[in-house]
Amino acid sequence: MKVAGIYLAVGQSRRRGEPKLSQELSPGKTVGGAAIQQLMRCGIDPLIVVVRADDPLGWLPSASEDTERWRTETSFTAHLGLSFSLRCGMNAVLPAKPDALLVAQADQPLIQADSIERMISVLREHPELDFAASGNDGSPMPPALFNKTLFPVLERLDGDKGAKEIFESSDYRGVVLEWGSKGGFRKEEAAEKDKGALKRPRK
Amino acid sequence: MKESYRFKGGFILLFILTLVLAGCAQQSSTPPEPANNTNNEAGSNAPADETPAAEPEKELPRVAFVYIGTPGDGGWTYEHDQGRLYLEEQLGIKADVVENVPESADAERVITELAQNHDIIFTTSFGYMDYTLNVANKFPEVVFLHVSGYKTSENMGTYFGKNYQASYLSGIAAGKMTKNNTIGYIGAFPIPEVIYNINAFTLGARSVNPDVTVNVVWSNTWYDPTIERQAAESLLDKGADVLLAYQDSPATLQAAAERGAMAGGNGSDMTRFAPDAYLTNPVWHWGPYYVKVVQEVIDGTWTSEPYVGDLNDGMVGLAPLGPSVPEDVKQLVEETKQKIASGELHVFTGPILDAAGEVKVAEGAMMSDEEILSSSWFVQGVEGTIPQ
Repeated sequence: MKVAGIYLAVGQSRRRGEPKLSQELSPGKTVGGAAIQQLMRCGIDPLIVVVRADDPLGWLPSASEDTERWRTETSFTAHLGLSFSLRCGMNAVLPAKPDALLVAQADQPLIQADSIERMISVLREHPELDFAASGNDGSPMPPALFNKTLFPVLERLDGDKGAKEIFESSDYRGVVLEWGSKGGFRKEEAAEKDKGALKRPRK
Repeated sequence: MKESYRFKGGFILLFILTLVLAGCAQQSSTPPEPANNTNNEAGSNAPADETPAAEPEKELPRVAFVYIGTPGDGGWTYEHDQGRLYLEEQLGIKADVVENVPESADAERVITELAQNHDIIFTTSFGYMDYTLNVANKFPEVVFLHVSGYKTSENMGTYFGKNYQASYLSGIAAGKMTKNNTIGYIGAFPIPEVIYNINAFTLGARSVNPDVTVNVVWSNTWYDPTIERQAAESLLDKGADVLLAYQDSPATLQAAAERGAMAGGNGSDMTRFAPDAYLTNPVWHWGPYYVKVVQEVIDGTWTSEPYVGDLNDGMVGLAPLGPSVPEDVKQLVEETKQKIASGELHVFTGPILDAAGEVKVAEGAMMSDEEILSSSWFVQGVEGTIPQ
């Protein structure tokens, strides 16, 4: 199963005047860049990092790190809603004809490679599923892996709608993989609190 | 639409990772249930409604604009955005806008993204032409309108106006206002659109002041106020006391004002940026055209065409002459405007000589629209080169 990825880094959040994605979790590892390094360990190819046109991109991993498999794509339409950034990424990634598409958001620095690999494994073993999403106390959330059966649906999302309506629709079959409390997929807000005591996903 | 079904007994099955394998094995053996489709399609078992159904309200199309700059440029993009606002007000549409889109492969990506969920797309810079056409060929159900270009297809039209008419009028004002007969002109790119406007401007200036020369420099940008200012200052250094700029910002006017010269810009009334130094310049009024096109699409009557507006339909206009321009000049410009609008005066009527003094248009002859739109030479009085 060929898995491609879209890493949505189009937010403009700042903390204390500094872009959140540029904040360092540890020396050399930024909030925005940490997950890219993990995703690269999962065989995702290509990974499209969707960025804003005005982003100086200082948070990206160094150019020497797997840049053959990941690249940036500038979303000029990011302000029109998340769906436009997603389409920007999909237009870049679909020519590679992937079987599944991982969609992750850049404010989730605690993404772990082995968690993503589990997600891929589930979809590989159960190709009848349309998606595998991460869980947050039962609620599906990114990162999520979408079977190619859902690509046309993802392309039709509108405005600021993310994949929530897909997760909630009875039209599609999916699983939610709960990684445990304070586990790997919590958002960046949690990351600050948990810094230094990051928990790996339960196995 | 994909066949509807869901996991038995749950809206979304929740797996704890430790149970993933077992959980999936159980579910994969569960046959999917048919969807509980409560949405009866037309022609289902529902009894026929005996009363005729009211005609459904026409859905408003989704409209998007692609801008080369921002509305804050005070010129070209500002006027397109004014047109967009007019469209929204007239038809109750909320259009999407994408700003600062380079004339590169990025443009094709942006236009593609918009085409995926819009019905009408206006691409508002010449350099978007091929990218617009490429996307139009892939999305035959979407209507594309490209400004100032010359390529069309069944679902792609073009629109522009005879702004050279207003350039001629600006030239009259410049020819009257220069004291040393040295005028400067900052051109964006050496393309026919800019060349024929420089020519019309020069013809207008020399129609009232045969001693005028128009020095041309190219900025190679539509919108870069810093480069535009540098170009303007270079012309002022060469002695120009009146400047015109085929650019998208008021930087030329501001530079001229600081040096006691007069100037005009392009596309929009720029009086507010330097009233005393302001001459005039061609302006655009896109709003009525935008309303016309979108209404035609709504009505199902739109067909592809190369639309050309002018002083008569109002797509092209001339900004009010600045407060420093004397009344007699204003009157002369107004009288000439009426002659052009009435058809009494055609800007490109011979004899017209090129910069080398050779006759390009014989006395009494008029350049055709095709000849104007493919202009590649300067008229007599222009000093500058056209890079090939």
